[in-house]
Amino acid sequence: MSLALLPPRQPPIGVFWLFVLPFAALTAVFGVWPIILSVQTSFTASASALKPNPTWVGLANYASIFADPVFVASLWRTLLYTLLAVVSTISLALLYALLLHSALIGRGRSFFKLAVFLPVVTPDIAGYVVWRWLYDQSFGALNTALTALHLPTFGGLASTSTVLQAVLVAELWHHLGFYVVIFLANLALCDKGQMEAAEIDGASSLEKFWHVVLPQLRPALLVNSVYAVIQYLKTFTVVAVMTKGGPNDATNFLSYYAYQLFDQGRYGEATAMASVLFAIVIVLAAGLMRLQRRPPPT
Amino acid sequence: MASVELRQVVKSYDGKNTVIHGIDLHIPHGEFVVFVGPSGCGKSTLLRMVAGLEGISGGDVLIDGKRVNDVPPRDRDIAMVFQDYALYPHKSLFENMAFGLRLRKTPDDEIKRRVMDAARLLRIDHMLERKPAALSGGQRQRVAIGRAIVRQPKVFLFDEPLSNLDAQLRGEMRVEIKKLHQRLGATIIYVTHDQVEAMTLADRIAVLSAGRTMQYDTPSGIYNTPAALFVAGFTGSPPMNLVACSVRDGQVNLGADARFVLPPSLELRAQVTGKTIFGIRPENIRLDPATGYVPVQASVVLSEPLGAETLVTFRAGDTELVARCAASFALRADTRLPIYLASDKMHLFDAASGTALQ
Repeated sequence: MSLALLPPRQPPIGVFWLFVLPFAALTAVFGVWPIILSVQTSFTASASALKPNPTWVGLANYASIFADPVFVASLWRTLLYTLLAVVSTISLALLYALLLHSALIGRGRSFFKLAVFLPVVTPDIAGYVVWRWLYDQSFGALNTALTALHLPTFGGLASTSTVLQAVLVAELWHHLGFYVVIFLANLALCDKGQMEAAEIDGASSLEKFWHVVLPQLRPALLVNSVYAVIQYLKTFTVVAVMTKGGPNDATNFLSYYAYQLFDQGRYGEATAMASVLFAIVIVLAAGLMRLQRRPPPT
Repeated sequence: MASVELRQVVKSYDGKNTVIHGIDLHIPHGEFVVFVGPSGCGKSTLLRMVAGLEGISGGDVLIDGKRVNDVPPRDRDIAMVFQDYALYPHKSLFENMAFGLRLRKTPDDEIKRRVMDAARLLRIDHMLERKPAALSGGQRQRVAIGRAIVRQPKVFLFDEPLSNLDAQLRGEMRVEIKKLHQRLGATIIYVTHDQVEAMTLADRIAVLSAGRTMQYDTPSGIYNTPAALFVAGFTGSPPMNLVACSVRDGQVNLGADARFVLPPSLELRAQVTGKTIFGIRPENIRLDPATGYVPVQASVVLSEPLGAETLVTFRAGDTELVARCAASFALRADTRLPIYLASDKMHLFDAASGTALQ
């Protein structure tokens, strides 16, 4: 029998479990178990939630949070912010990756790659503190520059009408590089032959992007959009560092509101909020994956 | 249909690494021209320069008499079939073929007519709703050819279109492409490294080596009167016997007792001076005497029966010569016998320059 006809060697089953078990155990203990506990807590009275025999209250905590106008407003605000942030992140990251991938940027490519990825590895709290200083109404660099240029000042974190944009810009700065890298990896795998075929077929640059590049970027679009939805629905650090939910609750997103209630010992309601957020994340992420795995229109 | 002309075409990267060294070719209307040569000889680069996918460092490319050096691919009115098909995987076969026409705002009924005509011609009309992933290699290649046909371009360019197919399918597709050319009468430039493909398909062949044209001629011209050692060795299967020899007083000496007189008709004697390569094709060696053949003493080294014929390797002097013999050949190794070489099919090449001495 020639070597080519021999069946491939299967590793012993013990090796498989040796690799899988440690991580499966970690996921179960630090991932799945806390989620189960959290959901369980959401059905108990806050006063007894942490005791060995808590008082079960059924859906009372859920009824309570949905009757709370602050929660409902926070839920809508979170969804709106997520929509805005996901669309901005995906489109900006795609644009940036396309520019980096194109011949337009020559020798500066490495610099621009580094520039966009450096914030990803910068500690987020440190980054957001700097952004808070930049936006400061009294001594912030942004308004100092705008004033020097005789332009109207930016409300930044102090105004309810600008705080969402201000927070979003800081988050984009911090996260964009990750999404750019995913798009760049996918762009590197795109079939050059298809681009050339489209060029000969008569496609303009925009038509090539729409008909050839974008369909090939479906894997990156899927990964990035699912990850972005999950990330922005859970927005917390930027709020905790820069706005504390203000001004006037304008950045009081679901995670931060749940955290506040938890801090006040309202465990049942806080975990009910967390469970609602968890359900929304699962539904949206699953929906996106289902949507993007469907064959594209021809 | 259109003619294509290459005038002193040069391609170099960074102004240093030159891969095409001033190629001149004229491809008349409706002719099937094959660029053939080994890997890295520049044949695909040259084709891509005609397509506009590679810039031109020097010289001119003309399509239908018009200089197209700076014309983008989409405005050259060409269609190209790629080695790896380059089909759009998310589009149906119909949409793959229709894409170029849609971009050119062709009316829907015209698109449908042209796609259906091409699909019927290529026998893929029953699978137009499928996606490329659901097709075999041969079917994908048909779609790629169909995509080119529907455009009705001035020039078709084929970049090693059959090299990803198995031997049987390659043979079938070769016949299909030849029929297609006969039916469409289109100008075709076809790149391959397979000399059989080149010989069977071409009206004219450009043999390339290291970015230079070694010979541009009809298949018969390439085969029977190779202009260079490279061309002689590249064409034919098995290739031409090429052996080092010395020539003196009109006599070729292959070493030991293997020597023969060059026929006066070749008028080679006066030209031959230095080291020389003698060439003769395997089918121009026979085992029995005949008019126009000269004898050389040889011995059998080995025989390779191929069914319809037997390839026999003979030792003549210090060299070995392969002959195409009858299937019934049954002499054992080391049998000594005279073999007969066709005088008018002999070739001599200058060993230093590799050019034919004629």
